[in-house]
Amino acid sequence: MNRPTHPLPQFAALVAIAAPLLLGLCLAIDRTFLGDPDAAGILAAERHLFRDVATAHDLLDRMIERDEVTWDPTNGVRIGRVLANLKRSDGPKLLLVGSSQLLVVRDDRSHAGIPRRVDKVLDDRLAGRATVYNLSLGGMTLAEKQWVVEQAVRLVEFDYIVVGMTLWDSVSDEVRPWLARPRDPLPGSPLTGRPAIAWPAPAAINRTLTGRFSRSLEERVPFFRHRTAIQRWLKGEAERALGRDGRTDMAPDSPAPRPVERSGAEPVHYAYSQPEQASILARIDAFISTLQTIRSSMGARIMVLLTPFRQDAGRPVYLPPAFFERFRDTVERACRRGDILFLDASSLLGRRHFGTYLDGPDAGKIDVLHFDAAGHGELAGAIEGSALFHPALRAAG
Amino acid sequence: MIFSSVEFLLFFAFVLAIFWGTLGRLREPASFRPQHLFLLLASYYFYMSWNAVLILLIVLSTLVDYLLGARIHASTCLRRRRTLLILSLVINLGLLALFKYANFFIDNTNAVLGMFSLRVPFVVDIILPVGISFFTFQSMSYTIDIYRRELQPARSFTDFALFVSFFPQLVAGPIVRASQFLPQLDRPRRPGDIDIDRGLNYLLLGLVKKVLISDWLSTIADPLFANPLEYNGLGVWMGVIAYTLQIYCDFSGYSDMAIGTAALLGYRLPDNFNMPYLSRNISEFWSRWHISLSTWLRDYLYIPLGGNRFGHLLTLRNLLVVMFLGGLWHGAQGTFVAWGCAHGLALVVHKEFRRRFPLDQSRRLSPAGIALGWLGTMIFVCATWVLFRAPSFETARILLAKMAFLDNSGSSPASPVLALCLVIVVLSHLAGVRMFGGGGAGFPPVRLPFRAFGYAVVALVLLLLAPSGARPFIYFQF
Repeated sequence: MNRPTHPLPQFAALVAIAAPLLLGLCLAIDRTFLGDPDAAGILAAERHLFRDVATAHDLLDRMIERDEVTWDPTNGVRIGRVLANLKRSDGPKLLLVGSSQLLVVRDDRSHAGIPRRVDKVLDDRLAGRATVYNLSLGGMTLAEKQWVVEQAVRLVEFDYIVVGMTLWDSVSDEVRPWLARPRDPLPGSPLTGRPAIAWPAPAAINRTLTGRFSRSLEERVPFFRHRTAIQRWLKGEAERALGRDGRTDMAPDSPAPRPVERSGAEPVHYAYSQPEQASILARIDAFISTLQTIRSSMGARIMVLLTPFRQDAGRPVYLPPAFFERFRDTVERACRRGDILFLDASSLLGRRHFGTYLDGPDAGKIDVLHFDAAGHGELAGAIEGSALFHPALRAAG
Repeated sequence: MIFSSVEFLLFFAFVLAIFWGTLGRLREPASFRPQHLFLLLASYYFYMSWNAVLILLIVLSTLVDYLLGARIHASTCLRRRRTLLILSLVINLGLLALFKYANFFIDNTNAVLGMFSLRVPFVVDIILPVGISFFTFQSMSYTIDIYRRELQPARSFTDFALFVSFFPQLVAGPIVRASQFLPQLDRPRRPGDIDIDRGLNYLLLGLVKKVLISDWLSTIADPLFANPLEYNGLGVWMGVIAYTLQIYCDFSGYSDMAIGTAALLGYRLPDNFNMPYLSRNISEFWSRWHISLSTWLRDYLYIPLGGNRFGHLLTLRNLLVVMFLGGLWHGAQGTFVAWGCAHGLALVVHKEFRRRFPLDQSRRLSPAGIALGWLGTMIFVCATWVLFRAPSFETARILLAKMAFLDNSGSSPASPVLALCLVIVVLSHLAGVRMFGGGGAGFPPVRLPFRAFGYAVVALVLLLLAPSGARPFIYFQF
């Protein structure tokens, strides 16, 4: 084959054939999709932010695109990226940090449950008064909470901070390697209400151009507007053809809690040795004094929240039975000393809000830590009605 | 900026439009090449899209080696030349050590000091610049080659800077030698230098490997390494095989796209892979995997250490040293070092085996012998990828125990569909050998309309099956 003297004619010939062909194929597929009875339902679901995504990383990409990063779908694996792209918001901001209890909606672990999660419900309730950021991660230890709070307040001036605690997640002070050494660079300098690194003119230019290009493509060619819906439709069709149900759930990484010790009886309970008890109680003061430092330096209102767990008469979750009371009293005293607000929601929720583990080593046993969507709603109400937003309540004792 | 992103597509379209617009139109004096300056600025922009400040690191490395290279070349005093070379190596390796290995050394020092209840009182809070291992090695080879009198210095700073930072291979290779690239800068690119077929074929092949294979396989492999306890032996094997294919498609996909991108600009980059998973022994594997790194280590480390010239034992020692450093090159983590050492040991064992049982060149290996060699090599390669990918030795230990079926607790995600997908990927790898031959260079000639049709279909498949959001390439972290 003779090579043209300039690559442009050959390239132009290729494009002249390939581009209309590609466009035609895209239109044909789009029409076939729109002609399918399932299309309307899939497109309706598509309008949701959490429309079918294969992984938590995809979801994070999508949230970044839309400036909607108020929580970490990767359970800390991409924490650097999450922190670097936190939602820009000019109004007051509330940071919620805790472990899986503040992330998992027991009766709906799929993406559909996210809008009914405590942070989202609280965000709705506080509409206009504060934007809620939930940087809770599954299995978060005290040291990890401290790390995340310190990183977050470097980047964003939060007006309110709520730190969830349970006895369960106060037992260890390890920091998991992906938090200690994040795979993405942590953003650096402090800024108010925006991601810390306002770098790179090139990155900003690229983002703007890419956004405009993608939007323009989506506006002009319906195939691109429906692309992810079409992908979802094709996946469903393929799974149906293979005899599967075609359901596609996104599952953020939120590891089920690992009991410290458990007996064969239900519900799961957690037992602590004497040295463990001593070390848990000793850790509390140091943790609260960190919060105190943050409160003094940035003037945020900070509240420690004892998160709900299932409490059955005569069947204590934490052993020895009196230890939880000691733990609660120690936290409350430390908060009072450090001028930190305290909300004990440990017995806020009744048994109906809890269920059983469906899988894992505790399958069939009662999950005493994670509660349902209604429980998340009640917890959001408790936070909204607390002294955090109603200083008079505190003054009244 | 990831090759498989819309961002890169727009950037490259802009670069290509400007660059092709200048083809054959510029009368360029030897002292100044606007084409090179344009590509250099584009390359810096490409890097600054990731981090605007750390471009200074590339500029520093470039300046140092350009100036030292010129002085080494000009000097006739061996002692002075050696001093200048050592200075270049110290600066390059110093930057690498600071940015990549400082905390690794501090952690290990702390592990030793911890025995005496002591610790280093600080950590180095800096980020790892993308591609630092690649451009540092590239830059170092320049001064070494000049010292050896195997290379003339670059004709201008722009040329040398372009060699160090040429965007197609800047962040993940292939590691190009100055002797391969600088001669291509001797004259401006002309229309006849552009190989559209090679460029587009490599670009699309790389995209398919990355977007359609690697990114999807990661959804099998990632959960395994995140939750190793949840999988039984079969599940772990499936996940590890998925990762074995993922890392190959990811890295060779990047190399393919780099080669294709460069070809569309009229430059030729060397092949970096040659069907490594068909290797019948570990030595063959290393002649087919990440060729630009293994040949770099051979020429700039193994041979200077003595290679195989000073007796059998020293040869084995040299192999071990090279593979240890090769492991360390990949990252400041004990698991990478262990991976390199395991491969070093395997190379030593293979060399020793071949010494005792030399291959009779006149006889062909039986099919059973070939199959056995291939199987043994693949089992070893898969097992050592566990070390490479696992976040800690503990995770690697759990996974390796499960692979050996010493612990079969947990469940398996095995399904006929998943197994079929893995088989299809393996078969397409084999088919690739027949279709593309050595390293993918020999694409079959197809008439233009059919090629255009093929490109349209591949583009459609990419649009339909690509997971949303561009994922970073695995080798970006190195």
